[in-house]
Amino acid sequence: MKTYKTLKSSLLIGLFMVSLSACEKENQDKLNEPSVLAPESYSFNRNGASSVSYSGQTTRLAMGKELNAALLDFSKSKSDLLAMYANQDASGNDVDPFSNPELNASDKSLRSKTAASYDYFAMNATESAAIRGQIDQWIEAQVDEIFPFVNQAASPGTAGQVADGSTARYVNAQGLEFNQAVGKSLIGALALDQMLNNYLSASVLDAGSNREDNEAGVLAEGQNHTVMEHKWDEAYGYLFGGAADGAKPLATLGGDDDFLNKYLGRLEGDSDFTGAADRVFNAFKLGRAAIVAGDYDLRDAQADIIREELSEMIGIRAAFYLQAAKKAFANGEDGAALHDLSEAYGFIYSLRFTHNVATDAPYFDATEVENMLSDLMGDGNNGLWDVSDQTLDAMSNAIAARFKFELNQVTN
Amino acid sequence: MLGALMVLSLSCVEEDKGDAAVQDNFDRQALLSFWADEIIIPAYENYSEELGQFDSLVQSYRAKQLQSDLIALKAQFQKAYIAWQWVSIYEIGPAESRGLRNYSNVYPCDTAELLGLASSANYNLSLPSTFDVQGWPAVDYLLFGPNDLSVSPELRQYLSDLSQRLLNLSQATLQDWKNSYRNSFVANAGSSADASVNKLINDFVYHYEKELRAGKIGIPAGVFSGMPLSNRAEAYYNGDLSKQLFLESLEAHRRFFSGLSYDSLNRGPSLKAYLDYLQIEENGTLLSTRIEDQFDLVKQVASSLDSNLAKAATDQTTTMLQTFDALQQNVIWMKVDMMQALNVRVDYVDADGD
Repeated sequence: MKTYKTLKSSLLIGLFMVSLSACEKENQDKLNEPSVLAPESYSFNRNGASSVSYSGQTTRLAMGKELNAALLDFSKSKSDLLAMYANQDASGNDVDPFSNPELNASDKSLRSKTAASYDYFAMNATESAAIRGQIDQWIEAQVDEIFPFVNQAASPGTAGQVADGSTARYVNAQGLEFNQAVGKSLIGALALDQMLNNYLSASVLDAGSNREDNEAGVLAEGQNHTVMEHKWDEAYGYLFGGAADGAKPLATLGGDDDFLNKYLGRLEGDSDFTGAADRVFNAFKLGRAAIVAGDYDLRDAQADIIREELSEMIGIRAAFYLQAAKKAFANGEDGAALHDLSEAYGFIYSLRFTHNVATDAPYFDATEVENMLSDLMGDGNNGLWDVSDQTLDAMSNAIAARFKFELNQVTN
Repeated sequence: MLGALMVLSLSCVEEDKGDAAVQDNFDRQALLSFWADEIIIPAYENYSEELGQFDSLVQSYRAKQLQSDLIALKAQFQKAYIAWQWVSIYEIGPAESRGLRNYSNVYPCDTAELLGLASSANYNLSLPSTFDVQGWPAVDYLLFGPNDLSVSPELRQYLSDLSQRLLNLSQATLQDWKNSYRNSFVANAGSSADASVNKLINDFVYHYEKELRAGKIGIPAGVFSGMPLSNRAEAYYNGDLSKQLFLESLEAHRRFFSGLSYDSLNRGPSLKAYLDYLQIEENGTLLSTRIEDQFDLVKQVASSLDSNLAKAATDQTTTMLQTFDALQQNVIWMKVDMMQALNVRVDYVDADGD
């Protein structure tokens, strides 16, 4: 089937190209102009120094890594964990919740950038607050519903440990790992939302006098970059801000954070999707070069490529984990299945932050996501323990149908 | 254009019918009987016996703390750990339902956790979180690590608990095989995904790929981490045993593939025989011959490795990597070529690792 699909899609592309050259003659002139080229690496200079800056994203990715680990540190209290999420206490006072002193010294916060994009939440403070409240609630539930029971075996209706291979996983009575719900939901609600719906958004890139300043070379105060350049870099930082070599980050792809980098690495490792990482990296480089050259159409075309690729990735991972759970249940590996479902749970939550460039809306809206999550929990009295193959297949198919990938690319 | 597209797509769909299910009359029941009666049950019998002797010595040492018992215990540890290598492959039925391999051989041992639990005297070794503080790696640490057992009643108690647990698990697994599972295993002779042949081939190839290739060689050699991780080697504290454990496991896989009984006195139906029955060739040579030759090649490449694989991981990294590569060739021939030829679907996915 794969041969057939590839052939079909290349024919379609062929068809598409023919129609382009035939019908859009006027664009030919533009294509013949000297075009902006993407550099080899993500390095851009001004006055002999780098103009690239995304340290705020690097900091948040590191905070996310510490938070994810702390969710499985059974000595932590609710307020410890909530303080790591918000980098302040319940009264808004400064706190030092991290083990890395640089993170404690920072005023950056994961929570303040959750569901905080311009495109989706600037006029939707209600939903933004609800999403932050949801993450808070999962963090609290980790302490309330799981921590007291970590030294007992879990079973349907009973929280505790399950074996996933040689690893112990910690689930609530419904089989859900709240640490996975939090970690995987922040991929969408924090990293993806900030990147696709905020920093890559023309509304943000072109805000105020950004275009004039960019063209006149007016730099942000005390910085070596224009504001527009910096916005683009901040988008880049949510994917590559954890890389040791931020200019050539693909060498360490997959190992540089717990969020988008990790899962772009996973996607790249699946032969059905190899090439996605290069396409995203190239779009980031070319888009940044386009900003330097003042070619904003080219910039926005690159933003769309990134939006499409990374949104697709969220859908693929959600379907992948749903199908992996089905397989694990069939093999009698309940622990592995619950772990897959807990990951799926967070990736499904993240779908609400994807960005369909055809509609400038998420591929699945908040209501659809809510319905999917309650379907996942709703096949019996014991939540994920009881989910049926039919539910898993229906949901995977519904997700695949909304994107370009086919379910058999995920399951093979 | 559209017409051409449809014609093309039709012809491609046609081609896909080529990999229809292979129908064959190979005697799967005879294959399963030989596996159960001549390979698996004898291996469990031997393991339980070596483990029984080990446990007697543990109990004696716990009661009297005689140095002579400790010396005998260390020697018997080697025999029992070697015997384990011959049953580890067969994580099916009563072993699978008990999670035998997870409770017997997850390494590296979390030694700090172990010491904490032992001194608290409050532990539940049936919990998944205790996989890495029990079984042979934990025994290895207690017997060959830095602690002086003669002055630590808690550690002697802990050792005794570990030994009893290993013994109970192995005896119960063996009893289940003999009492009922043997017959249902042999009777389940079909070719569905749940059939015994399909399941055990998956278990065998999984073990070869994950436990032998990755666990014993690849991970300590740094294949997955980019730098050698010598503390991930098996039998880290009695390091000189590690290469032997690897070679025993390799030999167990080879004999299973070729159809040699546990005592190596009889030949019987096997994966090799099955492939030859179907006349599966790879570039003009029987696939089974290629696989067997590759087993020999692995042994040859590994021959210059130090007896201590933790040491080899850092001092002979290249040879370790070459051993890994040699092992990898048979992952491809068995997991792809062999399983396709036998029409057995791979039922495991690569763990996500997070």
